[in-house]
Amino acid sequence: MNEPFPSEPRLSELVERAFDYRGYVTVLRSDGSEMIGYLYDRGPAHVDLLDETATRRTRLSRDEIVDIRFTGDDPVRKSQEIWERRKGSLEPRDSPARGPCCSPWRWSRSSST
Amino acid sequence: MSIPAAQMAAVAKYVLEQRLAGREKYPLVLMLEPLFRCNLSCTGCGKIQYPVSILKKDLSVEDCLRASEECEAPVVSIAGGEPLLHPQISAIAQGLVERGRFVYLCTNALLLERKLDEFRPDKHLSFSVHMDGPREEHDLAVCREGVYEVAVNAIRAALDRGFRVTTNTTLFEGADPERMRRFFDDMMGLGVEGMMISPGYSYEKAPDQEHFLRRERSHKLFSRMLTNPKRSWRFNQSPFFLQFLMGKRDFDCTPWGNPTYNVFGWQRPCYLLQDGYARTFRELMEETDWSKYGRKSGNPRCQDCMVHCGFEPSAVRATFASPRSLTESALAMVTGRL
Repeated sequence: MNEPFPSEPRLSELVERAFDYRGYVTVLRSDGSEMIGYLYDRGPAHVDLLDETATRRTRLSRDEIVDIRFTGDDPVRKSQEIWERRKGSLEPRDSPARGPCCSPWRWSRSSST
Repeated sequence: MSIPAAQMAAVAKYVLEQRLAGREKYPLVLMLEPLFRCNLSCTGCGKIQYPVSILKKDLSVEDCLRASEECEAPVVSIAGGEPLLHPQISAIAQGLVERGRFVYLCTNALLLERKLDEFRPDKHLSFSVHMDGPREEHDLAVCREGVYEVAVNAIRAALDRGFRVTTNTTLFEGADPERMRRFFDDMMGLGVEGMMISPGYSYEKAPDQEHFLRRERSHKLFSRMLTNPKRSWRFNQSPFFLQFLMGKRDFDCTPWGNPTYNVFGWQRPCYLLQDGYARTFRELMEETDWSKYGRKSGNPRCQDCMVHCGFEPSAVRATFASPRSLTESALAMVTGRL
């Protein structure tokens, strides 16, 4: 059974949260399909997603959105956790100049992707 | 002041053309971010917290040149991320130079020395090396030991090979004005063309939220650093902007002055805030509600911002506002007094 459409305030709040979120989200559509991507912009009637390979852009109508789930890891939270853990210590002098450096959130794929 | 005469003349000609054409809003510096990935994770940076696939994405050379042609700003600052991680960065820089743009290639310099062979010295190309103060402060800001030393060696190597080199310094709470004055001496001693300084912007996504400067603190810090500037110091910035940092002048932000293009498109409204993206430069300029930004707008995210990407264009506009201001600016440049 299809999920009910969210109220307009609820949808607006979800879209704004997803726009502010720096990880992947899963958009549930009214036809029952799901789309995973990075929500990089939004307008009064649409949202813009970049897919998981960061190559395909898709514009979805807000009318077809049933729910948005925050399914990807949050890179902001991860970078803050790493920074908190290493407070007072620096990366060693011989860290690779090209990366990957000691921040695993940058280079390891998240479990949801 | 250290901006070369040819560059100053090109910018002055461009600004006068815009004024004569009656254009109220025009870009001065294109902020080009050809990638977001970086080989450092600096404590005050909120630019690089993205999923892996987005960090791996590069703008193509064609995308970068098209953006520059769309916006027509005479100066291009290539930022990021770390631009030297882009596999075609030299082609991007060369393409922009061939189009007559003055290019500042911002870099933390970790890869600069080994990449120098890919570039040709040109009066239109300057490496803008990220240096957040003396050795201890810089390594702390970039969270890695030895980066100051690598950057100094890279600056020397680039200068030896005839490249223009400037430094770009972001200051945070706790900066010591006296140590910064000695740092300016050190940078000029290396032989850089000039220095750029700015308080850091309080990125919401940056890990360290405790050390961003508030406006009054910025004024005090810059005032103590820049009062009685040494004649040997050269800044690659307008005197009015430095006076603004010191609290001697007040401007509101000019967010359209340094438009930003990156993997998502034209960023609204500025280099620091991400309120959405336009597909074209024209759409950015015409469809952004600029009244929502700047200190006077009351936007809380703009209240403490004094970053050069918003206020250097304001300073340039003020410089060209009247013959008197033009004279004042010229005098400050000649005498070095702020």
